Amino acid sequence: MRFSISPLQFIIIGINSAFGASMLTLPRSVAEAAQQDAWLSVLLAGILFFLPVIAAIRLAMYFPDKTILEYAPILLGPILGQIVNAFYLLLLISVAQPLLMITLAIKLFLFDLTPPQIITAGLLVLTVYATQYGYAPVVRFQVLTLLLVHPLFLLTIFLGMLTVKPDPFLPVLGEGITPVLKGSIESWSAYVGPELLTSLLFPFVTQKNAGIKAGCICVAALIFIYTVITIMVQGNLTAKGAEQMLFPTIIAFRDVEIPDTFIERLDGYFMLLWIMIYFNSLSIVFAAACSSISSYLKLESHQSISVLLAPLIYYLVNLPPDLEAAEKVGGLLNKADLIWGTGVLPLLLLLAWRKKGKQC
Amino acid sequence: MLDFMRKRKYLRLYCCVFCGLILAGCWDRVEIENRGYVLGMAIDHAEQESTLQKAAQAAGERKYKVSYELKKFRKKAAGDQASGGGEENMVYAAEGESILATIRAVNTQIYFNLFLEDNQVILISESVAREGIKELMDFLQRDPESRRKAKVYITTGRAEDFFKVKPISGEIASTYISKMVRAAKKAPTFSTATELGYLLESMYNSQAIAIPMLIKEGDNIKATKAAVFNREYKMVGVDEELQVIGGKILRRKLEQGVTVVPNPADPDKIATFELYEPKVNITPHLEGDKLWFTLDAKFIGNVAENQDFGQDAMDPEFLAAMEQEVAETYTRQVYSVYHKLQDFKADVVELGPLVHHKYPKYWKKIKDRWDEEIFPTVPLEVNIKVVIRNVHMSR
Repeated sequence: MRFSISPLQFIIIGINSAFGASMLTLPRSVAEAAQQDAWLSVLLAGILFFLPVIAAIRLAMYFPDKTILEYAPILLGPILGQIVNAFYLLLLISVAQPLLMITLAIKLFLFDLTPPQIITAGLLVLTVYATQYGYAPVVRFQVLTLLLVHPLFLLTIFLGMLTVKPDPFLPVLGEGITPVLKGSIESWSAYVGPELLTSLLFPFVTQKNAGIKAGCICVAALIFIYTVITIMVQGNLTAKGAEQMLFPTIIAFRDVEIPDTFIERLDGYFMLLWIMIYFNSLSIVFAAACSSISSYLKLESHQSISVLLAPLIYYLVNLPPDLEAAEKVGGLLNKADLIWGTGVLPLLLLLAWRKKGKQC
Repeated sequence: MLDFMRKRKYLRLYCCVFCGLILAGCWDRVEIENRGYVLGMAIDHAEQESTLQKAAQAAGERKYKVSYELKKFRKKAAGDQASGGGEENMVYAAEGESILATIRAVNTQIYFNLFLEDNQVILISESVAREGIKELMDFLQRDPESRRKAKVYITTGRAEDFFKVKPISGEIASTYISKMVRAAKKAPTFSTATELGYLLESMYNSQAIAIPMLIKEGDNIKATKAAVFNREYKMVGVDEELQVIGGKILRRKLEQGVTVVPNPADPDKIATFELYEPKVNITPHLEGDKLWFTLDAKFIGNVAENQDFGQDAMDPEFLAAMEQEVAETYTRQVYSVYHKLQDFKADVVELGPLVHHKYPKYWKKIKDRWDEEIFPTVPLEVNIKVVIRNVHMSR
């Protein structure tokens, strides 16, 4: 039986692909640029992010049975098409780049005696195992966690809102719109994921006409969650405080205690739930990367690629000598994602529109 | 062949059981008896002559003596329930300039590790506070175990002495002190509690701050005054008890409390106003470069006590006179603390952020000079209205 994805599963995959890594560090990078208007930047970046997601879906609708690896050479010619595909694969693999920061966060706040290499390797081994049988088990796992983990995670985030103060948000637009725009560029990487996976998974979607609606729901959900998290962090730590912290989201949750209740402190719950959510994100992107590399190299099975890709990712994420270098790499990849979302995808859509007219 | 298949099956089963056995533990496991739950930290200057464990250090001086209060856990004996009695504490201390180095120095005296995630209070002696607390805070903001909800207090005298106090409730000093903040709402002279997280945020935002002061009288601990810190985080003065009320009004933090005034019907006797609904609004005004604040407040409450027995507390003239008297008392308290803070050049009542919110462009020009140059010259107009809604159970 051919693997297929329902529109609901498509939404879940889209949300999970972006929902994970940036959550811990997003408020810091945005607060540096936009100060008290950080939450507005995240909101604006999300609104702008509708563009690449809709572009990716419209583009995929022109080629309903093909992935980007197949239609990019049709639109751009074999050489340019392969270059774009290589760029696409790089972006897909780079979604695993925050693994270094994630390992550090897990080590700092949960497993202080465990060597960081074990944490990174453990996550990757688990991911390889989960993706051995292709998309189907990964997608099922994503649906299951959406039912079990995400509601608890959302509850934790909303409990964090209990201690939000209004002062750190004032004055709104006090420095004008420029810092908000700068902050929205910094926020872009948080949303990256759905537009990449759409280009690969759309042929498996059962009701293709519902694609745009599903994509919009996915981006709206991401906007909601990321804006709420930024508000929660900013309202608890202030923008200057968020700027100082390596992992502002965790620190903000450490600021929230609900005494005399079963819950008491939120940071532990947040970390445990977040690891599962991050694993979702890593596994779906990893599965997509393995599948696309194997089809790029015209291999029949992706299992050997997944076994080879995991050590490569391990090596690459540990390549930067320190955190600053890792952040610089992250900044470069953010720019590459921006180019993909606002340049390459609209360009491909334009070419498809010219080539195929308004068939869809 | 079949035999080989069966053997392989068993081998797999053995592997699963073996892995289950070796992986069932946790790498990061720490047994509870190997963890020293620090409930309070006290930071003092190091004593001149001391036999204490000193932290070996390549740089810096033996500047601070840091004491850690832990609860003593012991097995309950059969008759313990009936005997009652207080909890017992253990205090370990070490000297050094680095807080972490003092923790490690304490680690050489004990078999368990000091664990700060349940820390309740951080006590800093006045002499350390006057020298500045900025440097001390770095470890507390950096260490992942540090608890941001720990309450910070400044102590008159040596901070470590507060761990010798045996509160009547039987609790150990740290937990007792941390619970005291529950009274801050009802007791207006209790300066608003300062948590480590809030202190750090103030530092990041270059905001002057007031921290409650602890006073020790025998086995009693009181928190009534407030230590005022400037933007260098050096203690520059003290708000006295009644000034704390004015400070809370200016910070929009006064929620409840009683105010005792001379009885309008007989000034030799007293009448007591109990506040239950405060509304405070402070507005900055800017004309050219001239800045001033207006404070408009409405305090609604009861007559809680009228010691002129037989006097009709519902008499409109009496109520009006009492409202006037209470309003004047609040106004005096506000002006008293405002002028004091201007003298200290420390805007601990967060009026600067109000200017920032309303006049962001003007704020950009003056923010670096706010506490030291601008705030001490800004006038304040106070309009406080007191409304007595009822007189409790008798006229």
